[in-house]
Amino acid sequence: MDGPPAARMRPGTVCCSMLNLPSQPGTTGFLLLGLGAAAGLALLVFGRAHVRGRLAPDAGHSLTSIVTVGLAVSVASAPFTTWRVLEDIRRTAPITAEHARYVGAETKLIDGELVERIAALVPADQTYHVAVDPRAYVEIRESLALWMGYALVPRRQARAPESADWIVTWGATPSRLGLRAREPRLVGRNRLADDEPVYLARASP
Amino acid sequence: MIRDLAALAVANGAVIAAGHGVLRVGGIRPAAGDLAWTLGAAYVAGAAGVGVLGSLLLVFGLPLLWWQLLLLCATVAALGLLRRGGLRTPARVVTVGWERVLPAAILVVLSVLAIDLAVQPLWGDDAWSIWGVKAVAIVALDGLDPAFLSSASVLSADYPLVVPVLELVALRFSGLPSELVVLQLGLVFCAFPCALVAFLRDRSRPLVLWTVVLAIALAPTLQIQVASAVADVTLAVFFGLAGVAGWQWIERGEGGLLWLTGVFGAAAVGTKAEGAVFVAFLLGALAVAAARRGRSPAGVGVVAAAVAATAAPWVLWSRAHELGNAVSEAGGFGSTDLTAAAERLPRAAAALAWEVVDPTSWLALAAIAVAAVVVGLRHHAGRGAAAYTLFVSVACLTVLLAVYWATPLDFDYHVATSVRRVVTVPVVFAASMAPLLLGPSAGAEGVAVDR
Repeated sequence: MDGPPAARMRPGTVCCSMLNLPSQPGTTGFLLLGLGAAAGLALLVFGRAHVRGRLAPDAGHSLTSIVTVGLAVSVASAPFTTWRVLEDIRRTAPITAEHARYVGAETKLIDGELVERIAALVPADQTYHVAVDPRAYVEIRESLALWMGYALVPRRQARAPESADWIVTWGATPSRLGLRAREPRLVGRNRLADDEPVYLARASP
Repeated sequence: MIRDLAALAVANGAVIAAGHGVLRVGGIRPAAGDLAWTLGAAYVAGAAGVGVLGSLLLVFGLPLLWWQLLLLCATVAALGLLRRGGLRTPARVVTVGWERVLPAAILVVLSVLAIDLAVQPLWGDDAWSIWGVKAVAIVALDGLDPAFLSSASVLSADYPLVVPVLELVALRFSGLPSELVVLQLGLVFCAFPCALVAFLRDRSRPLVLWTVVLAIALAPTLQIQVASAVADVTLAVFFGLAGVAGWQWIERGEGGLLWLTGVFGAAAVGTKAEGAVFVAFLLGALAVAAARRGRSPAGVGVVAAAVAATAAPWVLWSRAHELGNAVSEAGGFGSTDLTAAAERLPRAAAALAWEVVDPTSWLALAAIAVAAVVVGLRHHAGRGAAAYTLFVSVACLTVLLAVYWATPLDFDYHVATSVRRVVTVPVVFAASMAPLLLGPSAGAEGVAVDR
């Protein structure tokens, strides 16, 4: 978490949104924004007296304005914001339970199926160490160890390779990354980024 | 999925029962059928109680199995039943005319959000690397395992346990892996608007209250953060309700409100590390406000001690097992040359200020909160509440500014990945206070007391 994003970063892959929130309004979104804006504007122009009528008789000008503007903005935005969430539901609901398990990995360009294969190969009571090729995408370099920490529970992740039972390397063999290990096996290739090879090896005694 | 949802409904029914116990201990007995109190306030109070007590039980060695969670909820509910006299039934302020569209709209918005949460995988990176991994490990290893937590598997392992405990409710009742963790954590936010209505409706103008609550329900950043299953909204909910209950205690002097301040304050402290500092400022402000009104601040001191007592076991346990976090692993705040880092201050302040006012995040919510503080400061009757709101909000933002100033992490990266989330607490707190600041209730029916 403490390293600066490096040059090899895919724009748009660092997400701070709902999983499938539309990134652009599109025709429907713009239509709803327009309708909402018209309704909000109408409330702003014609609704002020109604708002004042519903507030206590001592309601001042500023209170009436705050409530009217607050309601107008909500009315203007509600159709669009609600549609966005409905779109998110429409696109997210078809995700299968199996796929849902590693969607988090995919947002970081990590092929979650490969991690599940590693989980099947490393016994639950053993430890592993993770190393990533420095040429890999920054999302993978920053997130792979954390994702494996989550996906490989209850296996413990070792901070140092010499205290691990297993070595996982992403993008290169253990020897290329300067790690001592027995003969690595190719677990698979990362379908989400350049077919990077992923290896698993027992640590050298 | 249907079976899991049914199991989750049972679990959350138990949380609501626990919430009723929490409210009853505080002297509040919601009327049957009063949805805002029976569901909204009770749910958030139950989540706070289960979160805090569940954290303690984990530290003391329990794995929080499903039946232990049920037993915990039943125990809290039963504790409430021990209180017999002095219960008050909160007033019901009727919404009439076209205003009735507003609560209906709020329910629609929250229902759509809840459906989205039900289909949302646990995909946000903080959600799985900090919170989810702990909850899953507690299930897989039957409790807190120091060897696992001190390994490299967990990011910021010393962060407190309320969020993992709330996620455990889903994992214990619907099994591992659960697709419903995001929904379970998000229910706290879905209940929040109802809880706010319950706490404020007899002290604020109904239209003002509905306007603020609708703005909270619609705020895009809150919806997005809830779907990302990060802890900042949960912290904001607990902190906001602690602040509202605390100020109501100042105005009304009912001990039950101070009790609720303590419960929500303890939950805020148990949710995120910065919650402890925020709550310290909140309780400090309440103590000063109490003293200015000629009331003894000793009650606030007792609450502060109780909140600290709920947090201490986890702090001691995590220290004993040398658990760290991203900041401590990077050298800690003390490792930064503050003089050299002074150039960060204006940049961090600008980033915080923009996120506070960004209309694409908050729509009208932040503007309503700021306007309410201004209006409150201009009117004698609301000046105390406005000063309290302003002080606590600014104190929270100052704490965040100090964190960015002294961070040992890469400054730009730290700000870019967190500033949108961390401003949630002061904004939601100020917004929660807005109905109180924008004038007293007209037409409140008062409270019915059963002795």
